[in-house]
Amino acid sequence: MILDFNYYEWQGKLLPLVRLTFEHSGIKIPYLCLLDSGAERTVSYTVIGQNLGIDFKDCPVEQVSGIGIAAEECHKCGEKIKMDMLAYKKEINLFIEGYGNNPVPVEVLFLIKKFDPSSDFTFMIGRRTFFERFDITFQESRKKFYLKPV
Amino acid sequence: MTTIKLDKKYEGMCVALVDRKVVLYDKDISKLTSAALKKYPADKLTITSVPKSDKILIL
Repeated sequence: MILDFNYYEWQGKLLPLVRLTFEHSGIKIPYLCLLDSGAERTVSYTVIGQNLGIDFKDCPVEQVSGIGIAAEECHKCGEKIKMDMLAYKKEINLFIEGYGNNPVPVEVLFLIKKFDPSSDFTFMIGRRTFFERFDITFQESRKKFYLKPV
Repeated sequence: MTTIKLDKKYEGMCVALVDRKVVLYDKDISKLTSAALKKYPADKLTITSVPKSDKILIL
């Protein structure tokens, strides 16, 4: 079985976006997610986890760094200093259109940071767990990508 | 390719889509999600944010 998806033309950019439905504690919410083959981990935001009913109090906290998601600027003394961020780690299930009712467990880092829709995507799907469960082929020339369950 | 054309007014907002059209929007993703789930079945909905188009994505 190979699932094929079109790139989205999204605000003038062509992006490998996919609609994924996340489930936790009986709450299901579908999000448009960015497949990010350059990211090691799947990243979202605490407010989005809370909307899914996640109670983060028992979740382990990890330090996250990386271009684009972790680079906050500190203007003390006129210098820009990169700062790492903290995130809660939590495994939740997601469902993929065309893949039936098969839950796909994925480890998500929920950034402890205000979610800003002017710059942040709801979910960025990184390699760990998700890319281990699917062989993913990006076909830039046809503006498509394919998921093959491993 | 799947095209979703969004009006400039949605930039910087969270939006709920049904059949690729915006049905609700709000800056607050919690308010938007709650309202959208009350009004539409989850299997028809898609929740997303609309980052500003002039921003370069570095991921």
